[in-house]
Amino acid sequence: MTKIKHFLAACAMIWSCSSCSKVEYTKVDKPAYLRVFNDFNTKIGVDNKDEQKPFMCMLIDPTFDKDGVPVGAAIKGDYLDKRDPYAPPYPSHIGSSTSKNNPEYPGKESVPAGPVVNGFDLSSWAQIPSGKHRIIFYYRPMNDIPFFNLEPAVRKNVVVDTTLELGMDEIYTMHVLQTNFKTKSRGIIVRKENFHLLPLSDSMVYVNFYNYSAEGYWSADKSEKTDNYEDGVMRFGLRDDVNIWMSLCKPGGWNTIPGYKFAYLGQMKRSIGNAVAPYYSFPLFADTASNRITTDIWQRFTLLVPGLDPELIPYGDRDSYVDGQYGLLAMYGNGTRQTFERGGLFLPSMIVNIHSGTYNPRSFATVNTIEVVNGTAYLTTIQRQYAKPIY
Amino acid sequence: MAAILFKIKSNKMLKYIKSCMWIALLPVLFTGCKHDELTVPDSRESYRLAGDFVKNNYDLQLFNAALEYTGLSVDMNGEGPFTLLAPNNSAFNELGITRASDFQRLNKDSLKLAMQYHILNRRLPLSDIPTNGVDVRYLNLAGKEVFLTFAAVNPNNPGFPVNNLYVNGSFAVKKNVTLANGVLYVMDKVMKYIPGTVQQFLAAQSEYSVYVAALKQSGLWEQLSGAGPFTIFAPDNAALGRQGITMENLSLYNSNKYVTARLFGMYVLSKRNLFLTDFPAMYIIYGSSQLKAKISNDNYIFLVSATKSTYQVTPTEFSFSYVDPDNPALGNQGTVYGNTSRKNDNLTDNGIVHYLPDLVIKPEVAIKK
Repeated sequence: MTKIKHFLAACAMIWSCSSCSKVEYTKVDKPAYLRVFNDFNTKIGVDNKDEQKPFMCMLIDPTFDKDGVPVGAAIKGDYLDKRDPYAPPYPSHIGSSTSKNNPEYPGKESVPAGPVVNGFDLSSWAQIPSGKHRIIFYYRPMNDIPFFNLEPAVRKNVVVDTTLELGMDEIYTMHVLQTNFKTKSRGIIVRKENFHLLPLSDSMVYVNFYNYSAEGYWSADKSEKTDNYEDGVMRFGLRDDVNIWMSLCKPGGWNTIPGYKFAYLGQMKRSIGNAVAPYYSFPLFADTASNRITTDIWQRFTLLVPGLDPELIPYGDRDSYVDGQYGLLAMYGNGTRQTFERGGLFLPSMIVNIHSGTYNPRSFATVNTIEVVNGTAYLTTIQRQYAKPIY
Repeated sequence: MAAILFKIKSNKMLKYIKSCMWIALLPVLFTGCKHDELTVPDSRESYRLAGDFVKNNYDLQLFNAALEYTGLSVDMNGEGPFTLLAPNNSAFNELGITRASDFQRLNKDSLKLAMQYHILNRRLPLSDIPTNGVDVRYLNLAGKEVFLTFAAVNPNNPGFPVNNLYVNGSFAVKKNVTLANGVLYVMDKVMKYIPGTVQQFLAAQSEYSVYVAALKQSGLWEQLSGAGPFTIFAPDNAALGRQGITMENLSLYNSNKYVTARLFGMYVLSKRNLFLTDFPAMYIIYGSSQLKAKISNDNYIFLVSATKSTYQVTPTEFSFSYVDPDNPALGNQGTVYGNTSRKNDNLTDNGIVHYLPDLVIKPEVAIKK
């Protein structure tokens, strides 16, 4: 019996000793925060079948062999696919996909994510060392082979090559995109975000708008463009100058809340530049009938060329060719298409409804960015921290 | 474990366990014997070398005959690695080769080059081919590059992969056969590569002599020696003759009376490199399989598309039609279909030539107004 006890004691000792190990945390000194989107979405068909598919690998500070083929990099963002319509506030793709294709960087990459800065959750941003960096995007074939294991011949196909200076503790959103529809020129946008520096209230929902469409897209012949029903009336592009009108509605259809029918927000100009657009806002509990814990309103943005009155839109719901004069965004529920707003492009609601504290659900205000690129629009939502759910 | 140990208290139990252990040791007496002839089967032995595999496959017997005649079958049993894009018997039958002896009539060197064209100097399993890759180029033993298009999955329907593989207009009816020294694909069509330009190709074919003369007369001929690439749907002498155009009266169809860019020029698609199978492949990859564009130097619109039944493995069939810009309500007119597989997908150094069995735009539509 004592032998057995001794034996067990020895086992316990070995076990306890072996369980100790030093964990080396990856730490980035003086970090900048970076999030990257691949905005290419133009049509490829029989006509331009040799055009490169927008499937990329991002290399930061690459090293090259004697033939100029990249063989290593400080940071690698591989399998960078076309972006998803919705860029969620936290990298939820990791849990919901088995594919390696990454709809954004860092996205599914296992890298040190950003912290909470001034209340904003930056877990969708990667920490990278601040300072001067050379960033190159390469086209890569669509397979699961990691970039540096590909044959050297297919590792030379550059999308964009740029050098830029990233400031410490600054938040950057980078876009790689087509800048001119006719010449097929490509470019990069590096936007230094300012939402964490602005005095934004947590009882207001904020949104700003960018039009990053390629030059000459809306005016090009529609046979050259993707005819995607999901993009609604704006599927063939929007003109360079449009007014933004916002409506807040109760769910189930076109039931506006008093005071929020076609509220004028401002203008959106097509511009491929690094400037940050102003934020517009509306109260989280704009619906006075709500209990101020949760609200179910949805947001509807009408994009119209100057001169057109949203009350008197000359185009119908089923019009597909509106000459770039009209676009309709419906931020509804989780972004699934509804039976109404046929001409709308559906994206998830900008109000986050989630179990928090004792409330299920509870509504939270967010900071949002809507980017119109070539006849479609993308929504990026940034959220604040919220209390853990109590079950 | 501890629970079991504590249970072993009684000597009776210990004795029982001891005797069990002795019994368990019994097999040791037998395993001590020497086994000289023990061999572990090599998993690679169940795969044959490329040459042997082709030889032992009934559906590849004509391909094997070609390899044996040209002396390549010995090489195919070598180190490798190889990827064989092996045309099956019906692919050779299409060209009029039905027996092994038919190869004796062919030039050995050019046949060897043609067969080398079907063999890549690498192991290329399906998993290494980029998903939805279009015209991915791989070097073959002839020192040229084949154009490989892998219509793997429709992006709108990712749950149901299609995995159609096309190489130079041929379709892989059987994919990814593992060999000891490579991989084998069975193709439904012999790939045709003709060194030189499309101009040289057309000039060498007597069946296109009227069309060649027509291009020369219309000032469309010289461009065909350029960089291109060109895709040409060439009407043969019979097709032109059906519309009354012969070598004798060709001079009547001149640019004073006819819009020659429309009458003869519409079949030359410049800056395009299109195998017929590209159309069905594009349908899977991008959801559109139609090429619709303006005829160069004219206001008429042409449409080209092609389909292939990959289940029945029928020849790829193209349709070529036009739209009259003054009467768009009439829709697609003058549609000509073509599925003469042996005459299509002729790859040259600056383009691809297909055979067109009839004129799409008849001479009376091309009369100058």
